[in-house]
Amino acid sequence: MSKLLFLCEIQCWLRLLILGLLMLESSGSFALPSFANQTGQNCMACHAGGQFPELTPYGRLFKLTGYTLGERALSPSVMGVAGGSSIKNISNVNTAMQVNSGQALNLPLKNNSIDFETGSVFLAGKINDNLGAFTQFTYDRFGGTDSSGNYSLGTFGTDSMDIRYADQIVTLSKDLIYGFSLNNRPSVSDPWNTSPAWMQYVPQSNGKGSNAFSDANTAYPANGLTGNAAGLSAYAFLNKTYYAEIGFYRTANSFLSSFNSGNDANYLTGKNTYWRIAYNKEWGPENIMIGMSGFDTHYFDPNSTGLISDSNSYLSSQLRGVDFQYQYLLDPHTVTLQGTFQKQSTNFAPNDSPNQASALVNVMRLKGSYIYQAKYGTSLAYFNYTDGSMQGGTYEIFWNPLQNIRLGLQYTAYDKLTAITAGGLAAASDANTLRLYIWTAY
Amino acid sequence: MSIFKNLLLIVAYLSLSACSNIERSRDLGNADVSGVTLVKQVCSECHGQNGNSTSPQFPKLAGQQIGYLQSQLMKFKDHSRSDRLAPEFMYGMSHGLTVKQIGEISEFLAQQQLINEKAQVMPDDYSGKLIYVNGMADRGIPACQNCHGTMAQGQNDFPRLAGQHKQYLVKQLHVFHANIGRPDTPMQFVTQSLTEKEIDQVATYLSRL
Repeated sequence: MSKLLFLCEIQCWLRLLILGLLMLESSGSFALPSFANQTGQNCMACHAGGQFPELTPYGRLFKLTGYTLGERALSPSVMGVAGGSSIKNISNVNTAMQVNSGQALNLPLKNNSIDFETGSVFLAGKINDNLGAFTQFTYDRFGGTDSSGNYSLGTFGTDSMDIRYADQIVTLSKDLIYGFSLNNRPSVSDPWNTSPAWMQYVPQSNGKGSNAFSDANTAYPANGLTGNAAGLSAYAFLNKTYYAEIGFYRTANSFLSSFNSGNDANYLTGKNTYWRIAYNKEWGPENIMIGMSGFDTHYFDPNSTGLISDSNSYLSSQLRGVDFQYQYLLDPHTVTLQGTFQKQSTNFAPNDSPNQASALVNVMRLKGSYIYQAKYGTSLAYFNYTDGSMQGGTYEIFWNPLQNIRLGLQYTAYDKLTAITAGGLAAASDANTLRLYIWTAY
Repeated sequence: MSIFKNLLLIVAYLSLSACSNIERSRDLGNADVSGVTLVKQVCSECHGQNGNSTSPQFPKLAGQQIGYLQSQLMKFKDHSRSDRLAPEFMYGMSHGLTVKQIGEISEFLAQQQLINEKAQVMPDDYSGKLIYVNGMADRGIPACQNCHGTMAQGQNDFPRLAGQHKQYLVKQLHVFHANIGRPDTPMQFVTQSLTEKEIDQVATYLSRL
């Protein structure tokens, strides 16, 4: 019965979408987000096949030159996501989650229903010839908990921040882009889509409701560590071939408190060094990148029994990663292959409770996608945590009727998911999730 | 003082001292920025350094006819050229350009040397060359060289075709054939009876000149 209601809701939303498209067509209106406003170009000039947030070679250069190319200055834009999910066996999953972790999800309340999920406001673009910004603030419909512990309250806060100074020196034999990025997460500054901050299905589900088991919500080390960080990195890109970046992160407080994403728990101490090197090669309509990255961090252990001022309350984490990306971009075809392999070793705080000395997690993620005419897309992804906690894949199809509207359908299937299989109350496949979303930006 | 604060001070200093950087500006709405600067800072991102693009998504502009470059930039600017990728890429790029900047961009690119890695590797099949040199009178297709020159070097408003990316040439021949967004040229008529195979043959020949 509930799945029938879900299908009815899908039908209603599709009718609304078609009505919206007809209104857009008839009125001739065509609003564009900030960067498209600035350059006057279509989104697909910078985003491969219109597949956000993946960048084309030109999009990468636009980012690395500090968002300063174009005519207009800093301007606002908005983005919204509505969606819903259907989990295969909600009853088993709910029981297992409650027993294994006591974690309250909006289940089964939000299963098989479509809701407005997140809305973002962007202020982005050039400030002067060398200075530009990408700032995003997001309202999460299910970001906060009520008195019963259910995620039913909306929250609004900083999402991604990337303020840049950049310059480009072009001579007969040399093309050097160099710059600095003030940002709120390691790898937000990265121009490739295989970095922790960007290799995800977009739109990303909030994960607090029934979307908890879609691929976008599979944890990715490094991206989630630092909701309360601010960093400054220096980078250089030589002859569109060699890329290097080094950055240092600290707690986003005092004059950098606006960079805080709302995660007050992670207080950083020390230098917290992030580094990244990459080799990029372009030939014909193809390009490839092979890179390495690392992030060494010391921050307040959420499980610590001590005070923030106590050095025994801090854990140290070391992340090392190898990643690659291949793109074929020739209208009307867009093909992308991506892979990333990460090893995260953590030494927990001495007064961590429950006490454990260290942990090692290896993560592998692979993704391939094909898009035709920047309108019709499909992708297949695989993810695997070598500690056996999670393994599965996601298949997606999507349609961009206009460059700033996307309708997508995802199916995530799990082979391993210890969060629900521990205790034998549920099978991994019980969490298999079908997700429908509508994404739009103006 | 921490590394973080030192770096922040350096960036703040650079930012405040660089409100206007005419020599290395990417500002498409500033008439004071020279066309040559725009070629290096903006056009080169897609069309390559000195107009030799890597991707066939974007045409090589090095050594192109100055008159053709000027006319195409004006057509992007006034939207009279509207094949599919024109509004997606070039309307915004040309919107704020002045006539002076368009002249400087065109002159600079026309003076650059086209680099063709595939030159001299001629196909075994000479059909493309025969179409280019002789046309096909029985089907009303005139010789391409009548307008584009014996070496496909172009003249005035007729573009240089020699050394251009094959995929780009094929795409544009399809645009003319389907009569989508490139009016005011005789190419709709010329391409009407060309077959897919002939389009491929002539594009292969030209890309290797």
